[in-house]
Amino acid sequence: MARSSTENMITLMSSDGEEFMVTEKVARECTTIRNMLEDDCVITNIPLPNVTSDILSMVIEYCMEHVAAAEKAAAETAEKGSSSAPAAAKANKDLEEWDKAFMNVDVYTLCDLILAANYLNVSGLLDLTIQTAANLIKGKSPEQIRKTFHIQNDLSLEEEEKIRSQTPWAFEKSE
Amino acid sequence: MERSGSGSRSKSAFSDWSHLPPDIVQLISEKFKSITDYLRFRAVCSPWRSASLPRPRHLPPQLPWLMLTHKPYKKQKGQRHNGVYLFYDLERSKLREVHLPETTGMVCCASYQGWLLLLASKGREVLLLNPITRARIQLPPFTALVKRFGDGQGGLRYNTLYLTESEC
Repeated sequence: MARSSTENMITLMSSDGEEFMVTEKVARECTTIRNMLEDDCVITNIPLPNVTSDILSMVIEYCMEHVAAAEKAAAETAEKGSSSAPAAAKANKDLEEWDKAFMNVDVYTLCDLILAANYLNVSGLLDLTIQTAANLIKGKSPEQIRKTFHIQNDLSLEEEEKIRSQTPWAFEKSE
Repeated sequence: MERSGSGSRSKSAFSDWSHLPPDIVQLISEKFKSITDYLRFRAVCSPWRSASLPRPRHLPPQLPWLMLTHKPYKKQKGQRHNGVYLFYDLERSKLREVHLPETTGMVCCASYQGWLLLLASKGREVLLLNPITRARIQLPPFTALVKRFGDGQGGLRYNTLYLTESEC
C-alpha cells in the first residue's frame, strides 16, 4: 500500500510505557483518539493508561487491517469508475475471514480487547468481540459458561433455585 | 508487532468477566436470539443478572410452543385439573411440562401473542396469563361477552371470545 511521506504519524503509549507509531488514519479508527485530535490538532503523543501493550498492539493490528481494506476498496472503485459487486463481496468475505482468525484468542485476551475497544471506542472491534463472547455463551448451561469464562458463582443456592424454578425448561440438560 | 498466542496469556488485572461494565454486559445480552440462551446468560452471576433486562425487548419472535392439553392425571371426585400443561417445543422438538398452578380449576379458551385467556366460574373469573414469563393480568368478569352456542343435545359447546391486541 502506498503511503505518502507527509502523512501525520501519531505515537500511542500503552499503560506499560511502550510506544506505537501509527498513521493518523489508523489512529482515527479509534473514536476516542479522533475526538482528541479534533479538539487539538497538534497532538502527536497520546498516553493510553487503560490499555496494555499486548492489547494495544492487537487493537492497532485490527485498525490497520480495516483501514487497508477500506483503502483497497476505494482504490478499486476509483480505478474502474464503479465498484464491481463480486469483487466487493469477495473483499468483504476476506475481511470477515480475517476478523474470524483475529478472534482466535483466549477468554482473558477477549475480555481485555472488549474493554480496550470500549475505551478507545472502536465500534467494529467492539461489535466483533461482543459477538465472539456471545457465540462462546450460546448453547451452554450457566455452569458451562462459568467454567469457560472463569467466573465465580456468587448466587446463593436459594437465588439459583428461584431463578431455575421460574423457567425450569430453560435449564434442562440438552440432549 | 507480536500478538499473544491463544491460550498462552494469563489473567491481567483487567480481565474479569464478572466485573465487565454493565453497559457491556447488556450489549452481550442483546446478541442472543434464543430466549433459552438469554435466560441461561442471566443465571451465571449476579452482576450479569442485574445488568440485563428481565423482560428483553430485542429478541426476535421465537418459534411457538404448541399447547397440547393437561397432562393426564387420575381424576378424583371433586378434584380439578392439576395445572400441569404439555407444550411441544418446536425449536428442540421436545415435549415440555409446564406447571401453571394459577390455572388450576380454569379453562383455557384462547391464546393470542403468547397470552392465554383463562376462564373459571363461567366467565366470572377471567385471567390473562403468559405461561413463559408468568405475567398475569386479572380482567373484570365478562360473562356478558361470552356467547354460547349449544348443539341442544348437551354435547359440544363453544365459548367464542375475541381478543384484540389493544386488550393485551
